[in-house]
Amino acid sequence: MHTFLYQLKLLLRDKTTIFWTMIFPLILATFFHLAFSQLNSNEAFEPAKLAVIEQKENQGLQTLLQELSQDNDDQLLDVQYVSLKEAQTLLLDEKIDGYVIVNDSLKLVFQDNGIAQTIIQSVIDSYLQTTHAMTSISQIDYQGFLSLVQEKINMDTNYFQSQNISSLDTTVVYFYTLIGMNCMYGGFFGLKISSLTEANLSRQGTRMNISPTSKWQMILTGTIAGFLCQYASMIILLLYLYFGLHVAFGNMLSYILLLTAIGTYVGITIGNLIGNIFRFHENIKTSILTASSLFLSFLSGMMIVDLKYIIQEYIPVLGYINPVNLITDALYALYYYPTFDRFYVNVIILLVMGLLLSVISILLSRRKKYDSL
Amino acid sequence: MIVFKYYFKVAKSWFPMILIYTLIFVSLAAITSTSGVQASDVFQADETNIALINRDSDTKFTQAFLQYIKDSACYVELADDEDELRDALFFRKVDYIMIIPKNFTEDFFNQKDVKIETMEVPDSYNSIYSQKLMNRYLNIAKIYVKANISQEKMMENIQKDLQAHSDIEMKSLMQDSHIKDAASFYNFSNYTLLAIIIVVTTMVMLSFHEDHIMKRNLIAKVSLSNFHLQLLLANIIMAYGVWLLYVVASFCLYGQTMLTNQGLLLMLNSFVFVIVILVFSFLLTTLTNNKRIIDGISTVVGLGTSFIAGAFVPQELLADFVLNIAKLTPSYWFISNNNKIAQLTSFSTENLQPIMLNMGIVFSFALLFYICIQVVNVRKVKK
Repeated sequence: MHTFLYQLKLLLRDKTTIFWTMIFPLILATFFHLAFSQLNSNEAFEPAKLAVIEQKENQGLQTLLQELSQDNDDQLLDVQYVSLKEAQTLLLDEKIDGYVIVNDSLKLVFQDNGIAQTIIQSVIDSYLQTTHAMTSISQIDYQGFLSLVQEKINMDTNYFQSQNISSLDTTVVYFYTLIGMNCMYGGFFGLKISSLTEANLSRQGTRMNISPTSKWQMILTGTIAGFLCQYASMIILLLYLYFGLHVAFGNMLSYILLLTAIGTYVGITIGNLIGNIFRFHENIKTSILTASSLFLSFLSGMMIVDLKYIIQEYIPVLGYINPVNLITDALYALYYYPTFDRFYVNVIILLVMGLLLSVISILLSRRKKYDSL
Repeated sequence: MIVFKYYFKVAKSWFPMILIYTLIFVSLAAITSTSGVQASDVFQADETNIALINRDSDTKFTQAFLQYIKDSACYVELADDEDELRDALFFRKVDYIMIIPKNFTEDFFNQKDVKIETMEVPDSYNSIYSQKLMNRYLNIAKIYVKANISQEKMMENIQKDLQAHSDIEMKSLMQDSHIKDAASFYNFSNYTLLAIIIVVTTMVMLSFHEDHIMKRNLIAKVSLSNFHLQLLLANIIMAYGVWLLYVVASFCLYGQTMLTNQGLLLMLNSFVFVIVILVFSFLLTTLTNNKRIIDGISTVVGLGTSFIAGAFVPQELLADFVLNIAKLTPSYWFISNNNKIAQLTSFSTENLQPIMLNMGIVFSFALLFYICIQVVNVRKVKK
């Protein structure tokens, strides 16, 4: 208990580590939030702005355009009737996406490629194609054509029924990778503990080693102290994400707490391992840890979200051995999937990974004796 | 020039880091710029990604429908597996997934009320467009069915009908397609330039600020003003060395484009920006001697400005209030200037004025930081 308290104190007094594990993720989360606040609304639909120049009246087209520009949820177009000159200036000033000249044939004028132009083209095409189809039918079977005209057939039947999938906000993945990264930052504490308990790594370590406390006890209390520190900063981060930035998590609080606890544990063991394997100065070990956790986060989609999917599709193994990705994927599964299967797969792999790393760490550091201190 | 020499001796240990940063950055830029769509004077429709899962038997009708998807959109092949479909949709590999139910063909030709189940991002451009596109085929097929025309005849004709396309004229604005890529390269360099130059110059400067080294230097033969002059010179060369590395990289990536007036303006713009970074690093070293604090500040400043000023996410996608905050940083003016330069169509004084004005604003940040340095120094002396 005594050693535990001192280890806790030592960890808490290390301001740099506290900054990187507690403050830095909060700052990064804020930046993510600021940068992505409008990203998803950008996908939302806005009617394409079209100007029509009628050099010849076309009743059919007029009706179609009017239907499509009705002010409702499905409004596809925003139509105005102007002269050619006006249309040209409007286009140059980018007030409209394009214009159509209605004569014996239809001619579209754009100055950009884009989705709005594609929609305009699609509307005009659909008019042309329907007209063409009617002509074809009248040639094949005039009787059938006549009955069609009499029936006033609806060309806008919707053949689709949406499954209404929700929770499709891609930006949440960025925040999930951040949580994953912060778990790895638990490694800073793990690293610190290994230098506090090994006699050749720090003054405290030297003193601890000549004390009668067993190594087991030192590592155990150290790990618990580190875990508490890191888990506290995880909870601060989660609270901030949830209440401060309103990041969607899918209302599974207890699962998330469990997941981050395991994640933190894995992070600490990784730090511990780095501390035990390498024989460098502590600063270099910290750099190794920072670089590797950033790289793992990068592979989980922190910088480019698609990367996570690409890895999952083409090199799935890489996703399963990357702890940051496992955490990200588990959170993603909670948010997006109706079942828990995927979440549990991730959690179990993570747990096995943590235990394995612990065993290696213990094997490396046990029976280490120093001839002279 | 002993101080000057020693500066680079210390700086040498940072060279690997500079190289790694630059390499990662350049390869990222290379990947993103090759995937960009080339601007052309022929209209290109945006193709949405559509997947078709056929649970009906493989009929002529579904085959023709599939062919229509391939012709009018970008067909994505997915397995009929719930997880795979969901993932593909979430990561936007596909915009619209259609699941054709059993007996669809038969029911369709018997004029029953049939529905195809879909998965899509609700209310998004791509899904609404895809829905219209796919409905069009089925609606045209419907009128053939209503007119009692046989399946074979219908297949024959529907192909022809769907080839009717509108006549499109592109009024293209003359623009070099590479210049946009080059501009986003320079936008992104906001992060790397800030991170590298601040870290390297401050860390080397701090090693000169260490107490015993400072004292040693004070009793040395080299006069204090000469000492500072050499340091300044070394810092300038260091910063512009890094800058040059990026300019060379941009030449490698975009070649001729960088030699156009727009390319040269981009370089000039970043040249001015480097002045600000340099003065800012000086400010940091006058404020504190603690390496860890500076490390933290440089990471936060580099990442922060890049996120809110539009280096990572383009400015037009950022919310207004974010941009308003960003206006308080030089990065905003640097990046919006890059974008303005890329959009230049002529080089009249009228067009160039706002660009020069932006550079002026960036430069005035340098002045502001310089004034801060002087204020801090005066206070230090008073103490």
